[in-house]
Amino acid sequence: MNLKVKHIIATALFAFIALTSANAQCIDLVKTKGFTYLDTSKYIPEARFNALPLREGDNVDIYKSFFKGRTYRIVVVGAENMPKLNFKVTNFQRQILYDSNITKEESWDFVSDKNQNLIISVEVPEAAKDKKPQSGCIAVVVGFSY
Amino acid sequence: MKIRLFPLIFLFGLAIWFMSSCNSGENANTDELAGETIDSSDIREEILISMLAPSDMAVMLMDNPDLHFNKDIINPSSNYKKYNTNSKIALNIGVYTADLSYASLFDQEQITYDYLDIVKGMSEEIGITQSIEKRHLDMIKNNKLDKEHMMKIINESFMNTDAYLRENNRQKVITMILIGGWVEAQYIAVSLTNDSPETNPKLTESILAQKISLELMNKALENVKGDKTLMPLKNDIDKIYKLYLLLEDNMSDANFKEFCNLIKQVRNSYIV
Repeated sequence: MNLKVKHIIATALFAFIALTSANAQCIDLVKTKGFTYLDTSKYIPEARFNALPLREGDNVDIYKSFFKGRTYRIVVVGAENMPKLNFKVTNFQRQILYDSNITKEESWDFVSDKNQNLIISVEVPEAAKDKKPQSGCIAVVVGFSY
Repeated sequence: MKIRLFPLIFLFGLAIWFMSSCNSGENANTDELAGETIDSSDIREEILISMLAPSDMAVMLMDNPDLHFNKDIINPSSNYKKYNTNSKIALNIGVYTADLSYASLFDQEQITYDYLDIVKGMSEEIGITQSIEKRHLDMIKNNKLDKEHMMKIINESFMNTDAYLRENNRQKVITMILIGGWVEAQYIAVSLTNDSPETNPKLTESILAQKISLELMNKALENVKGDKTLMPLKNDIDKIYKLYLLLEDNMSDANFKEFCNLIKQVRNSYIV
């Protein structure tokens, strides 16, 4: 096997290991930082896993159902090496119901006034031009009060 | 040094590949859910459609003081032995998760424990090795837990399964679990109405509210044309959605009964 092929295989293996390790960190992020901000003494975390590895400059939209009369907390957190994340909650017509750029908070508490599907848009700010973009997990944790 | 290091890297990679193959459910009788790949290594703009989990679905529908627990309507525990394809197992992990969530809401600790144990076994059968933790089973077995605590345990267990499947690019499996759970939770709810919208108006309202979660499910199933595993399920979802539209247009006893009958028919086809 020539050196070039060896390099390709080794690089692919390292990429695989790095990705697997990044994914494993996402569930930890949800259960530590995510649950802390959610305050599980007040809110029951919903069961879906809404976390994934992203890089600076990336964004993700999460589509979710919210039910009339329920009190929810939406928490958006990132890994330690990630910058502070911005998130917006909009309806499907992209009308903004919440914007963390204004409140500067990691979470939003609200009572859903109707049965509705909403979009939680998370944006990882771009890295400075002279810096290599960081990558790490981001997690959206939703809980409801009981 | 380079020459010695390479075989080590190669063997390490081979071991990881082997372990991940063992965990991907390829040892089940049929592997119709194998071979899914979603490349998440180069994401710029991602969309996640976060359909309701069976446990959350059960809370949204059955968290109602006027309801009661009826063991006769849940999928019998003995049925799990007959699910011997990946598709049937995935669907019925969803079914049993909805059942155990319903049981937990009415303080049925033994049934909750037994069904969690079944879900754990079925999950392992299709290669989901990190779902229900033994400490959670022990907590339910050895303690008198309140409803809230039970919900947290069940939701955390489901989240483990969801995370494991996402991390292993097995999106189709989680979709099937969610569909099985959605249909079962609706089945329990419509069974408790005795096919009449007047029996428990709050429950009827909760059933109708689930139209929005079905809309998300439809969105998630938009691109499954030609997929022989998911297409029949999409057809079921489409039929149910049409009846939702009918109910929205005309909420008559007859239309509600037709809706209940369709839910029962679909559910019964999943648990056989």
